[in-house]
Amino acid sequence: MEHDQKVAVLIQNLHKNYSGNMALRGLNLEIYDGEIHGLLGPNGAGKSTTMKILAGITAPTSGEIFLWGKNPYANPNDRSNLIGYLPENPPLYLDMRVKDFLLFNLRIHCNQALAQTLAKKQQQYDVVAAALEKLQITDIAKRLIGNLSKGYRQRVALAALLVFSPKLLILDEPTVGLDPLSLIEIRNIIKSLAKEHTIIFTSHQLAEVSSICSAITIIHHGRAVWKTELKGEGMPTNLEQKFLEVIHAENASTSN
Amino acid sequence: MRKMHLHLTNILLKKELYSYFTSPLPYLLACIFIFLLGWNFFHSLVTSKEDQMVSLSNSVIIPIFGNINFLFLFIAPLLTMRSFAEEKRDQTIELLFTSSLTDLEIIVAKYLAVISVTLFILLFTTIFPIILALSGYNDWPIIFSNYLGTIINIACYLAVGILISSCTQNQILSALISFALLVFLLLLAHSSNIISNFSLGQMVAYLSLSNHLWAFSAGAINSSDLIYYFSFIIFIIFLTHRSLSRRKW
Repeated sequence: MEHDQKVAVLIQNLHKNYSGNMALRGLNLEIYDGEIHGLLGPNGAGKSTTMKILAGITAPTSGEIFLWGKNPYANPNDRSNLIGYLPENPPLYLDMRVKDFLLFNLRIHCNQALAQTLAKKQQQYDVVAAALEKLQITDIAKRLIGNLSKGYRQRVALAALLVFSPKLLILDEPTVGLDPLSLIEIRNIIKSLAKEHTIIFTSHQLAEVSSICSAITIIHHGRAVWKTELKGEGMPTNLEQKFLEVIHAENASTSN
Repeated sequence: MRKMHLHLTNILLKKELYSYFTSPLPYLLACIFIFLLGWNFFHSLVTSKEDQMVSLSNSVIIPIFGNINFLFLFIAPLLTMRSFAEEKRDQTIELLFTSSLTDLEIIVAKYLAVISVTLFILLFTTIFPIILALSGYNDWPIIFSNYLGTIINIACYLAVGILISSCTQNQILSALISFALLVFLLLLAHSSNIISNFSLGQMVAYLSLSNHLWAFSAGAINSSDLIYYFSFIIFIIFLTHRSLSRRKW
């Protein structure tokens, strides 16, 4: 199928070897601009490794990644405000206040271009205020992060990404461990973010993935084994059944 | 290689200082440290009164600074253990790795933060020269060289602590290994005396941190000692950089 959108993320033949354990075995993936792209797969399939490599935290053993046609991994300054990464355990300094943490996050992600745009402190405060408002956490701005519930911490972590407005958001199981109300709210927030960001999203909740994502790739044994087209055209009506079929077929072909 | 951005280093340095000074650790360590030194100072003063032949520098100042360096064998690992190990355990290191900060900027910020905390603790020790000055003591060059030597020597301890902290996510393990390594570097001075090969003995003696502190204690500031200390710090920071960057792109 032809896509009108630009390719946002292009992963070519990605390998990752952890001391003899092959986490990725030639992963190829295309993610389009403005997509919420779900990565599915059993535990140990290579989803988190893919996300860590995309975020620039871990180096691949071989293979290439292009974001909007460029390789931004040589210099942290080139990717720092291009990619926002939220791991399964949100990286939060529990001894900081919400507002201070967001301001700190904005400042350490400022490359030269962004630093010029936000030269005045008041502009930085305005950006932080806007992120707080977007995540509906203005009322907890002065509270210590360590005193917040898991749902609020997740919102703070998301707000910390939004302050530097990355084009690509990488969300590794952002809804895990949330109560039903927080879960629904975080889902809605993620959906609303798709208007301005390309999002890569993982979850073990298949129903959640099919309701949020506009495209899905199933990763197994470090390779992309199945991919849907855009929502409404290629999305299977029963994702759970499709997931099991793909995984069983892949297991059978591997054992043969 | 991208040049260092001081404003980014400064942002992380401020955050680190905030974390240190809002935790009880530096205050607790400062209290224990100053209590032990105070007791030692009082004891040295009493002894020096009994032996009028020995100068105050030899009977009080030099032993006090010797004890400061000894106590920091324990304090330095406790101050540095959280630098990277805590960030790795809490996964906040990923926040720094995905930021505009380079590995070197992260290391420098954390190193400067822990040096600042050390200077804060050492600030309390200025009470001892002040007390001596009130009773007529005025050998300020000795005090200056001892402070300089002590600060640089402790900066080496802290560099070792930061390196070990970057290799593990267990703070206790980081403190224990740092302490063991610092004691090993101290014992090198004693080992050099029992090595039969003269050249090897000289080399081992040169590598020991404590052997370069003697001249400072006596009031002499030798460029060879300064070069040794700064080379040591740069080498350890280089190793820390290697330790961090092997995980990255």
